[in-house]
Amino acid sequence: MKVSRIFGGLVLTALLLAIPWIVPDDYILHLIIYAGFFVMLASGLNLLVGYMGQLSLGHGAFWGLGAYCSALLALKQGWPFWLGLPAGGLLAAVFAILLGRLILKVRGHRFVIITLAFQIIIQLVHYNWIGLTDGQNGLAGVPSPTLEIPGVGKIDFFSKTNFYYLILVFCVITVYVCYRVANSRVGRALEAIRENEPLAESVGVSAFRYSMIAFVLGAFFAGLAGSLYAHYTRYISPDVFDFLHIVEMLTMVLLGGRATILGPVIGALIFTGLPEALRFVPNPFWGLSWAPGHLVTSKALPAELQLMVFGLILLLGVVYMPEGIVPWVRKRFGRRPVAQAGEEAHPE
Amino acid sequence: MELAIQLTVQGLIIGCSYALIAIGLTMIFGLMDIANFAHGEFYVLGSYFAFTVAKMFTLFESVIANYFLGFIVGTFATIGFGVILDRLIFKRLRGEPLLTATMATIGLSIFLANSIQAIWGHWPRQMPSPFGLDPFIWGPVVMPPVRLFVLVVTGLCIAIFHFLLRHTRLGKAVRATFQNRESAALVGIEIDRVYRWSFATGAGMAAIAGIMLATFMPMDPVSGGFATLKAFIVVILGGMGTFVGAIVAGLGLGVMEALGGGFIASDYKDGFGFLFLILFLLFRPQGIFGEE
Amino acid sequence: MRKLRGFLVLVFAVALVMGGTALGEETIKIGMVQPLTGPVSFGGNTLLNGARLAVEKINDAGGVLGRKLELVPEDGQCVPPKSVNAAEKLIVRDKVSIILGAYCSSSSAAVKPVTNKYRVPQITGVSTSSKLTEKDTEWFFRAQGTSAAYANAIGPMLKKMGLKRMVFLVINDDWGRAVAAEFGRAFKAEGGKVVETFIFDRKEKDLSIYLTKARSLGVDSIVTACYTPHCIAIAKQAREVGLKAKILGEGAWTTAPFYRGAGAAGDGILGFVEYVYTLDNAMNRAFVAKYKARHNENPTKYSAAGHTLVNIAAQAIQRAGSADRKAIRDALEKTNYDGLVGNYRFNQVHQAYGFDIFITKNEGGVPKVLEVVRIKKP
Repeated sequence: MKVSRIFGGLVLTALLLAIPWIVPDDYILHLIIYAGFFVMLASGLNLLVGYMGQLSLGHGAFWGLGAYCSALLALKQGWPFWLGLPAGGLLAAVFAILLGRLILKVRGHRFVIITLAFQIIIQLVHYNWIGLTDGQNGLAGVPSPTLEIPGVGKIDFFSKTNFYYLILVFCVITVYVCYRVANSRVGRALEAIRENEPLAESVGVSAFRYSMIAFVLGAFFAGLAGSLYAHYTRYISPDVFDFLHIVEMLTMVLLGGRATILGPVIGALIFTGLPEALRFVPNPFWGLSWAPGHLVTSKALPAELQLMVFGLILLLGVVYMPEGIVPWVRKRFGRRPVAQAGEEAHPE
Repeated sequence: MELAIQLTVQGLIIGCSYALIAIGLTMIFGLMDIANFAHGEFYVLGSYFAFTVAKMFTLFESVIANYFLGFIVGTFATIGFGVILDRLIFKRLRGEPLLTATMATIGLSIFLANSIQAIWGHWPRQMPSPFGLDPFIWGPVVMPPVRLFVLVVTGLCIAIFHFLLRHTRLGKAVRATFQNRESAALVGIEIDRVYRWSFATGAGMAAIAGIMLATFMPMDPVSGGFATLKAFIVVILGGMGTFVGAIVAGLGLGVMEALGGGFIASDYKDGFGFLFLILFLLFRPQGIFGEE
Repeated sequence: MRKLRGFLVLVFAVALVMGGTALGEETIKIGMVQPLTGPVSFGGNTLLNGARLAVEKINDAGGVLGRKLELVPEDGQCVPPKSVNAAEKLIVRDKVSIILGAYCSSSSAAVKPVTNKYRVPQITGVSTSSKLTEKDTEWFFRAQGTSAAYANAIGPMLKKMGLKRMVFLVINDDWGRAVAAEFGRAFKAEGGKVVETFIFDRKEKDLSIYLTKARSLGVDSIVTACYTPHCIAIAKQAREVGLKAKILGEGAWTTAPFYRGAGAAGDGILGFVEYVYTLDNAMNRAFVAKYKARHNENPTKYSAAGHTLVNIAAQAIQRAGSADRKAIRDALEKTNYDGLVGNYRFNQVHQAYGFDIFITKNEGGVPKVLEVVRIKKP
């Protein structure tokens, strides 16, 4: 058993390292990097939403806060990326601490709506505080990270290949930390709280304390992801706070496989890859007339149709496949016994 | 001063629509305990169904006839659609954990909003208005006829709703279920029927609000989310599960936004509502009229 | 192991789906990142229509450098990440020589680092954010005016019209705010007074609060920046609140959906527009006739922009003598193109100038050109 697992791990590692050389072109590499941000986002979100079962609609705010923080520090103060990155993560974490203090005692619908209100207010501020964020113009010219290693020279993360390795490192860190947290007392506490909060409290598990840990940790990784995102796309605008993004993240967690480590990763890959794959699907309505004299002239699959499908997948998915794809696949192909409530399914 | 009076009046009228939509949401929230993120879509659907009948299928010569036909058909079509949704989806969602139900309604709202956009396109549409544009002027108050219409219809709706709730058997059943679901079922009330009628009423109210607003504002397939959000704010500020709360908070929010937008800051106008929302949720979660 | 195998399968399946399309060597590829679907797709599609007409005309006359032009449109949806993905695909996969897009300012700004990185010339015909041509314009061109340019050109007119006290009613995005800032500056320079600036959110369709306040402030003019739904709302609601002030400004005041929606309430409104289908020059008459025959409606300013973009690109390719990206970029700098609304040249930050904008008045659902104003070199 163990030998094949080590071997499997090595092959996986080799594969991940070789990705820039395997993929057909930079466009695919770009999509993989893009998915990488969401691996970080979804994994962090999973701690609160998956393990503890609390629906937070505010995660996108942490992502955006990290992105803007890092971008502003680089553009206005000339900070190097390596300082902006932790700054972004810390800013998000601080907001999470402050917000968490206020709202983590609240449960149910109220919690959901407060996180939504938080997200909207943060978006409003970024939209309107022109002096700081330049509003909808966004911040352009965010520099790519560069790294000076004395004796070796300068590594520049402008190239996609280099940036891929950078995001790979952070994805691995994020996933590993989440794995350790999920398998620790914290993870077990979160699941206990999810299953039966009063019972957990009665044996001394403080829901507030543990949910704070999950919330802040998730926010921290979201902030890091934001900083990486800003320095990759080299442009950031208040669109990062769009409601659709948080819905995407939640879908990745819930349909990928909540309360598993692999779930958000697979979810991120699927839900960033799928919309782009649809770019190559021809528009079935092309050439049809939807009103006198008006032809559908676009060969692109309509965004409306894509989103309709997405909404439907989300709706049906949470109802009929509530645990997500990864546990479902595991059950189907009988790889390992399914976890009992409270015990951790051994994640890879 | 004059401006304040005028803005207050305008705020009240917008508040009417908030109140109508919120009453509907209160029913679903209070009865089924589901945070229905798709509620605003009834508001949008109402206006689009009405528009289709009034403008696309113009069956009559006169604008008035088309308008009111559209109004009636639009409302009932939305109610019908709501009942179908209830049977197909919300029935399945009752009893599901909050995470599942909420995300399902979010998915539903994305599906509906984009379907509307796919079917009707995203051109700004408007209900053909049988009302003249020139306003009545009563002292400091400038009242366009269509907005007076909104006031009147809202008042009628609330009155009818109140009557139905207080003086019919179904209304009594709804109130009983609201107070205590299990006991209501125990005394033989058909819970499913109660749910269905409540959903229908909620959808209908939202549709009426949508149709009225579409008479003086251009329609937009994606405004459902916005409407849902406002409805949530109103429901929570007013007190989840109280209809009086929904009405008072709805009108109040409208007035507050009008005064805030006019006197304080136009670009942060929507922020006031959210700020109050957070404050209430933290410090007075039962809202103005709710009981804890 | 199964998971590993599954992962490998996934990678290869994805690669297969994305399998490279055969690249035609014959044509010169012009990439377009435009909102072909989504909320602003009306503009994006009419832009594509105009572009297609231009391409057809050029190809019918023999193409450029003996080769046909090929438009490769991708849907950016006016969503920055999607526009970026579209640009990556066009540049890396389709190997286009030039990119036209991406319509919305934030999408153009997001695509800019991509075209910069791969050294591909990019021209936008619609984006108005002044930030786009402030820096990093090595590969970026704008064949469109900025609000600053319009304000400088139109500012003096406002005084001529006898306007003294105005309010701004603008939409909350970079364009709306720029209109308020720039026109405010120009108006104040002429001695006018800006009493207040109202900024409304895109989702806000009821603007009567601001119109009411404007009425109570007793201003003589309301300067706007609005998209079609809000323009309709302003036109109708102004009547409803009994507002007597003049309504004028940038926005969709001369589009067909506006006339349909506003009806009689739209009359009398003045528009500052980049294009009107009623322009009376030979090129435009032919363009409008062809567009109307094909699409059953009049071309919009976006159609005109699409037509202009393609022609500027084609001329640059001709001048460059090849489809090489850098050569095209260098050739673009020497642009001297006479289009539907005048002459286009680029200054040192690749901002276009020399063309005309128009002040129109709505009369009975038809935009009547009152004044023609030339955009001078910024």
